Amino acid sequence: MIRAKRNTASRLNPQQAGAVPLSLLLMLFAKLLSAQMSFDTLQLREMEIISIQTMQNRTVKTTTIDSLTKSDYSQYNLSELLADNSVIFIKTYGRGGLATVSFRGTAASHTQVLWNGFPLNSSMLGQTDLSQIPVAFFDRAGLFYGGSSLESIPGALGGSIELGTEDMANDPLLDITQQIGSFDTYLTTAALNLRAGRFVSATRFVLQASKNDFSYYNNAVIPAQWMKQAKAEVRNTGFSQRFAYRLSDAQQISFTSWNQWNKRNIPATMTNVLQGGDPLEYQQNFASRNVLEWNYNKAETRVMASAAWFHETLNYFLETSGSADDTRDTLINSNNITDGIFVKIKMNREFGQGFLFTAGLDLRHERVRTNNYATAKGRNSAGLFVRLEKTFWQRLSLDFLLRQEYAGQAFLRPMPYLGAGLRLLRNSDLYFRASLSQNDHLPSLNDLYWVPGGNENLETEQSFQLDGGLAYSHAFPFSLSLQADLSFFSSKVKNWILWKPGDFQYWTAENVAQVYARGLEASLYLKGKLNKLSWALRAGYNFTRTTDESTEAVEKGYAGEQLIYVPQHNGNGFAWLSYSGFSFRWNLSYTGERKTTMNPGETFPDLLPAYLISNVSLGKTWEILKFGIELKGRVNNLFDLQYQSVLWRATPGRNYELSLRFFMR
Amino acid sequence: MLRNKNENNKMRKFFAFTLFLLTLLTACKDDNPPPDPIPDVLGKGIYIVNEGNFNSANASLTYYQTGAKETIQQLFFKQNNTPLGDVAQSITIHGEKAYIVVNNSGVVYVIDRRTGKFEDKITGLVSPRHLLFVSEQKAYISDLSSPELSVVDMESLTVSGKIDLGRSSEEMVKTGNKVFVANWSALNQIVPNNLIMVVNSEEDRLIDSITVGIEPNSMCLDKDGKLWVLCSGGFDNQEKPSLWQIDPLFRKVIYTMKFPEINSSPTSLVINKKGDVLYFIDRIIYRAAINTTGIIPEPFIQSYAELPYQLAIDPRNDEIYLCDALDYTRNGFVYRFNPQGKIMDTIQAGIIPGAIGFND
Repeated sequence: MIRAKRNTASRLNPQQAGAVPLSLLLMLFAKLLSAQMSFDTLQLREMEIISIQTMQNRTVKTTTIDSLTKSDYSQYNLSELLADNSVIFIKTYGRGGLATVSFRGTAASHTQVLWNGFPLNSSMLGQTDLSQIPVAFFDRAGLFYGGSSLESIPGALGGSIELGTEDMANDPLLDITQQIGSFDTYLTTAALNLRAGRFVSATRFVLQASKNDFSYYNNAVIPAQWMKQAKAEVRNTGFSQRFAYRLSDAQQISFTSWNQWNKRNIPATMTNVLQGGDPLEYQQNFASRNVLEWNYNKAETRVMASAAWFHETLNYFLETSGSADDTRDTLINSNNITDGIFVKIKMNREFGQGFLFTAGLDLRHERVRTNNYATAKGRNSAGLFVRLEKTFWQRLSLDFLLRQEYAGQAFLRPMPYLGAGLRLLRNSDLYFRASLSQNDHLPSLNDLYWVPGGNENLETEQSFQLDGGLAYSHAFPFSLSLQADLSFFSSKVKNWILWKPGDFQYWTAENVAQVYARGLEASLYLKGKLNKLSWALRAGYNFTRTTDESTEAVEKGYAGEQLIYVPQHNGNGFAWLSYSGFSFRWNLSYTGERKTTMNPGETFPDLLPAYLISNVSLGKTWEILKFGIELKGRVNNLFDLQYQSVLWRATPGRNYELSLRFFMR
Repeated sequence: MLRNKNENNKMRKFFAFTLFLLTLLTACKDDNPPPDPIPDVLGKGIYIVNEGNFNSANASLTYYQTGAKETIQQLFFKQNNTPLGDVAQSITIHGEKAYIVVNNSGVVYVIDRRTGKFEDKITGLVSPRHLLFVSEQKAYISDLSSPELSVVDMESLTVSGKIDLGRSSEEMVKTGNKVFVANWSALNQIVPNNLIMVVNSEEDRLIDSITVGIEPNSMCLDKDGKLWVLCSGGFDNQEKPSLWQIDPLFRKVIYTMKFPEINSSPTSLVINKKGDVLYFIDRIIYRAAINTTGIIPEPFIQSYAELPYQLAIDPRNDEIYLCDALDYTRNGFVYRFNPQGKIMDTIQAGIIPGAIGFND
């Protein structure tokens, strides 16, 4: 048997990579002490600290990740943040692996993820890998359900996840965390926030490396045995830099740049660990995202103009050794370069009390160079919207939005949104809301141009959505407050794109499915304070039915079958306690059964079992004057559950993390 | 003060109740369902090897008892409590054992042909496709991504050697002491995939090659010992598909037929028991009698399969089996026809039924 020469470049050394030397931190700290004295604390723009979980304005449903949770998850990525704290479904291929989102039963490409207003979705695939978005690189996160995303972007048939950076008045001047965890995992995050007169600088740095060699029970080989996950190393390095300058009381200009390098080995599925040839599969990518923004905010008028350049490279590589001369054979070496240039202008003005007018223009240019297309391909698109919001008698709100898009040298159909909100009782915060919307999603460039199988004749996916619900909030004595929300949604998507086997030996993209997604969402959030004890409880639950109701599906007998990897039931919740510097958090995340095929079978492996994961953390913070230290431990998968998120992809059992944070205000 | 106390009590009860509920919820643990009962000995029938989707590890084994007309799904999983793996490519039945080649898992599972129970496995393979016994002790395993043929000692079930072919290998046919190996895929090679490579099975050595059309996908031997090779012309239709007749003794091409349509993609060449009629798939099933003046394929069985994928002929009775992959995502079907082309059975299979093994 011929053994392969090792590719030493691909072997990561997390011990070397993960930790910032202590001496360097001390030097930086000494420098900052002097820097602090020369910068005053003038704040440019207060960020609204949203400490509530769900925020209903009158007509749309949005969920904001509260600052407490955001802070608790600052060492994690967006996938982990949302899996624990929202009920949108995250499909993850294991620890460190690809993580995509299914919002209200739609496909991953139907969720638009925005950073400072611009899309992070890959122009090629149309989707976003949430595992590659560290929480450290955004200050706010909001979920916009269904048609409520139309003001920001078209095509979010499920909804949008909107991330943004802010100038936070209460951010520490310096904030450094070193985390170590099971499986040789090391994470360093650092933040430096400087303010001088009208100028603000915010620097963020993340370095993460993990050998990721967790043990798992592999019952996909004979004999079943405990194994270590191999070739699953992950390394992410990134920094962001934001400069903001207040031109006047009403104007501010800012520039934010986020640059990140990721490399991850892709481990074999549990069934493939015996494969010969010592295969090595990895993906490495670089992303540079740069946004320049100007804001004008005076009296009733607000204008925002921004421009962005996003540049990404992605290399997917697979090699084995199968030759007699002991060399490595490269089977796949796919290089992909994507550039996006975006411009966004938005203006809103309040005309009298309760009447708000908003208008905006979006310009987008995307270009992809890849050895998987015949030639370089691109797409230009433009969008214009107007929105009118009016409140009557302080009880009824009406909201109308109309967006028109031009893409690929043609106008898409108009995308309207009409919403209404009604305060049901005069003296109570109980609201009813309902909305209708129409939304179009363009095919990804891979759908159009991939060789072989891309289809340039694809039509846009078109959805019609109905949304409604009840929202209630109330403040009780002893600082106890409650928020509850019950929502329903119904969405029909025409021309849903699927890759289907063609007449030849490859798959082609086609508009085939007519998907009907509907469901219920319920959430409850309670928080209170009793003497020194603060506490919060949140619970959320989703019921989602997503089925293909196309004529083809009816004729072939699979209409009514739940689409694969869309759980009908999922939910999560947390309990949080804080007392005298100690904090405790218990997160529960439930994922219901998921179909892995379109077969009617109701047993494994056509149906993956449900699972409930518990994560707990305990921390203690000491603060003296302007300095603070926080020590926190976390246990993931507390009950050591063996489970599969995706069929035959290994997941770790109980594992541990310990972090030490130093901050200076 | 009293109210405060009451509030505290209520809150304590509330927390205790919540913790209790959470503990109950987390105590649940899912296990694989117990296997369904399987007959102690499988009746005469066919193994259907379902490829499953690449990288999804959902390959499976279906067994159809032709006499009782009973189907057992997920036979391998039920008998062994283990998935078959990722892309099950082919099956070879030899002696009392069946050998299932699982391509992307890099393994060949050896099962008892009478029960479907696991007996052993062959590992150390890169991307195995087909297994061919060249003697009672030795077999060759072709490989999609390695340019070598694996030589396997079938007693120890270990790879005992490699034969350097310089390109990927697919179907194999043995006649005399020569093994004819098709170079179907262009993966990992810069030269065209249009060769039938000839290996001396006593010396385990590549001795010759014969140029045919692009992408030779299937082969069979006729009643006169001549080798027939079907070439699809390339997945992106580089050339017209073609059918070749080769004299294996002199390793010369005797006859070539080009298909009229460059957009057609014929596959799955098989031959009847007598060795005088060829069958293949080109959207429908065609057949062609072998004669001295060349062959003229004629439509034989139409309109059954949504996606005709593979064809097999029962060497015992000339019954024809057509695998239907549907849309590659749902469980497919296998249609059973009598030699005259009349439908006998419709058999539910797994995802992408791609190979059939006949089990006495």
